Amino acid sequence: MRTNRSILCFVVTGILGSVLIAEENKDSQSAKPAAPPLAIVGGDVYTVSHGVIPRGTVLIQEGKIAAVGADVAIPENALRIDASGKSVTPGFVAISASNVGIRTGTGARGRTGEPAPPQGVTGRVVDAINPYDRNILFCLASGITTACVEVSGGGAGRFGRDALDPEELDETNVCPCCGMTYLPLEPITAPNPTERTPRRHAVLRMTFGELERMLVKESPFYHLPAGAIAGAFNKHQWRETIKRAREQVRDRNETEDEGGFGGFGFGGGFGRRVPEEVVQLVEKKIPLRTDAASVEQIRTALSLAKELGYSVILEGVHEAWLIPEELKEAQAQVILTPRSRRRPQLGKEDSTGSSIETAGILERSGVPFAVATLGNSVNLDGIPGRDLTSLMLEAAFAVRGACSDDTALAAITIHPARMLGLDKRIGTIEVGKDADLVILTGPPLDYRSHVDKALVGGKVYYDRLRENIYPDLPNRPRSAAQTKR
Amino acid sequence: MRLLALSCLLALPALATSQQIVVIHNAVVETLGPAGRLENATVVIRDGKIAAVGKDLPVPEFAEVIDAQGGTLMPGIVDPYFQVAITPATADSGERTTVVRGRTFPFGGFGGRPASGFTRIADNFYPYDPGLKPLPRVGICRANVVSSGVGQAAMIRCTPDQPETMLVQPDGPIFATVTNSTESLDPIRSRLGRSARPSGGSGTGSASSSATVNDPWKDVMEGKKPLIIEANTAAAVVHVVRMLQDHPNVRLVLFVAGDAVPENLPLLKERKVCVVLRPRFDFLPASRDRFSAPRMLHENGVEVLFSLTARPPRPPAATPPTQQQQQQQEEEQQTVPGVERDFPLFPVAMQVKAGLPRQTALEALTKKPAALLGWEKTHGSIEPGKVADLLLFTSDPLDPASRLRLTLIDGRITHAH
Repeated sequence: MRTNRSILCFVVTGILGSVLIAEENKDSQSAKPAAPPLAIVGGDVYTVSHGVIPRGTVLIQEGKIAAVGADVAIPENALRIDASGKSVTPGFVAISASNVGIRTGTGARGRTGEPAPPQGVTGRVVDAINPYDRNILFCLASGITTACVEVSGGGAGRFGRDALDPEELDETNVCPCCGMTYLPLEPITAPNPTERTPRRHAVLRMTFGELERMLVKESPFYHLPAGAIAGAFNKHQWRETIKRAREQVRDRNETEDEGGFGGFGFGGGFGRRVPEEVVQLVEKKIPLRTDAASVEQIRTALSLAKELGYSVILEGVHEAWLIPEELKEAQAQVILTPRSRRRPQLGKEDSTGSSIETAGILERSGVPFAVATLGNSVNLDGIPGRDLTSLMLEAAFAVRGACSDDTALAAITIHPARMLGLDKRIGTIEVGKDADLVILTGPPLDYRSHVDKALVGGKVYYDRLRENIYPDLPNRPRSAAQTKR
Repeated sequence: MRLLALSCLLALPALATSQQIVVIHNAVVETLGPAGRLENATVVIRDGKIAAVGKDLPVPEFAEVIDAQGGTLMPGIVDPYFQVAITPATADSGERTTVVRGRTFPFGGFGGRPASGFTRIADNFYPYDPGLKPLPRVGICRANVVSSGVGQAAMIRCTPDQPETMLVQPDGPIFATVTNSTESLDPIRSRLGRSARPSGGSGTGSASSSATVNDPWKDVMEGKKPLIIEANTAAAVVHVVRMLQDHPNVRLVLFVAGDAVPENLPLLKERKVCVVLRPRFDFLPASRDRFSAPRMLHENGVEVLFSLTARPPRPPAATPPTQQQQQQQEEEQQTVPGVERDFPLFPVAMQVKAGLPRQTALEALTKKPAALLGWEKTHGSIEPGKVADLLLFTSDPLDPASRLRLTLIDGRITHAH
């Protein structure tokens, strides 16, 4: 009976605690200058940039890392988190995520765990954020503090056009007498291809319950499906688009030189204006992200990138192990899922298909790669270890491919952070960076390690003792409903 | 005996319209005012207003006397969020097409923003709607009528037997339905922005409406009228509060499901939001544990209002209904959606059982919504000078065994059972 009561107390504090804690933190935020520093002491600090500091200290001030090392003077007023026997790593960065923190419609709040059908966000991303999405907590519980979330799927943008393209109607003439359609008498010209619709992404921090801090940036790259730049016609169209983008940039620069408004007026020459992302692409502010599985697809993407002058991120590179030098030479970045498979061609088993060794080969060739999971969403119903929550284990599979532990950890921290253009803010434990940290119960790539605490911007958003995410602790209520029974 | 008294009563109104006096005696009066609860008290009603409340009052001459037989008298229910089915897109917001030489050209409309039309309820209210008939039967005396989308509510008194005088306040508060999407947030944002401008106030989207003369959004900005927002997820609440950060004078009222409450509790407290709930139990987020949202809000100092009614079913299709459908429709017309017609206050009683103070529960049905709608001086409690909207129950109104015997609206018996 006594134990029962204490358990009940625990549950109640768990439920109300989050509210209370949120309040406390709000108080501490409003009194920002007086916010006490936070020191994580006694843990093995995996800095990613400067190796591992055994029994080191990370000092956090105002949401940023103020000091890292084995010998850090801790201010007297500092709060302490004891991480003895645990490890401290940068927060993991999920480069491919969906259905996290952005949900539209009613009901789909992750309560049942069923993956809601990915719905495109039609309006602004910031208006569609759901800070109470439980998938955020699942991400935190698996060490993810930043996720690049797919906002809308985009179309393949193949040449030709969609069957329902309304412009099609314009080429059909209607007889004014009988109302029937007839074909134009002029020779039929090549159809004007529709603009490729890229897949849109937004980078979200996993600050559960706090909308204001969630959205970091939108459109970190221009993401096209592989088909969009495959084939002669698509390549031609892509070249034209880039050309127009360059003209647009040139015109804008000229107007700016004349003291006019940038990007205004008739810039961009003839034809439609290209999307802002493409302009940023040719200005090398963001990279192009595209799928390239086979050697041929990789070579196509690389040669186009070289020819048109933009940087490139290749995803799903199953055959990258055959041409690592070419990737290195093109300074391409790569997104890899070590466990995903591509069947080799019959009779060419040694020179086609995927290889588990890809991670190791890429590392030795000096090609930076990020690790992505097999599934992008949080799905706790199906086969375990395939969804977003298995990011850390997926990195461990890179080690299975003869890659070093350090690189494998970098593949879920600094490398994806760099791809998102956030390497100055997150991805390593260095002074001045955001205090997005994970405290793990063991070494980072050990399958038995659990996330003990996850911090975003110096604030604890996930505490293993507080949340009932994983039934990993013995003698602990698995859910509030069970204790009541 | 009682029947006789009643039949006399019903026959009388024609006789004394100028100086009608009704006396209800031998009643337990839940005044919900400073007088509190009065046992064995008398209420004198003169000309549709309460003239006196107290014990051992002299009965005036020519008064109709109703013996309450120890039953309980409480103020009439004011429903702050009575939804009716009105298609939100009015004629001037829809997309139209024209055919020129066999080609179709679309023009007008708000392409891709379906709910951006502004619905003025007063222009669309249909007092002969059979769906309004059972309102007095469940004790609802006044209602703030809203629909989905964005628009201006209208306040009615629930006298379906006198449909011409039902619409008492055509310029009600502004209402809106919101979720976490730009499409639903922008119609409110843009109008708030427009009203904030000094030259604002010209046009509220519906040019045909006479309300454009005095812009209701301006009243909302200045806090003269409340802004009632139905937020359909917990996240939507965050977005609404965030949207109104720059408009501190706006009196925000949220109509939400109870499960949107726990996560947003600090936010609701900080903004001093008034919350309209249906009296029901909800699940705590990410669990199957039940809780009472009204109680949680009350204990945290957030004002709670009850709306007993639910969203009405879709209007019947244009095709002629089958016999079975017709029967079903007729049954529906005898009930208010969401309210059990024979024990309308039972869900409120369950909230009291779950720990919500009884007084708070009764006020959440009457006094609080009346105050929200600007009727604090005339409605919501049984005090001299106030309008005689009264419910006479055979015993405690929250007792399941109790029966709603009489509903008086403006001192007139609108329902007797």
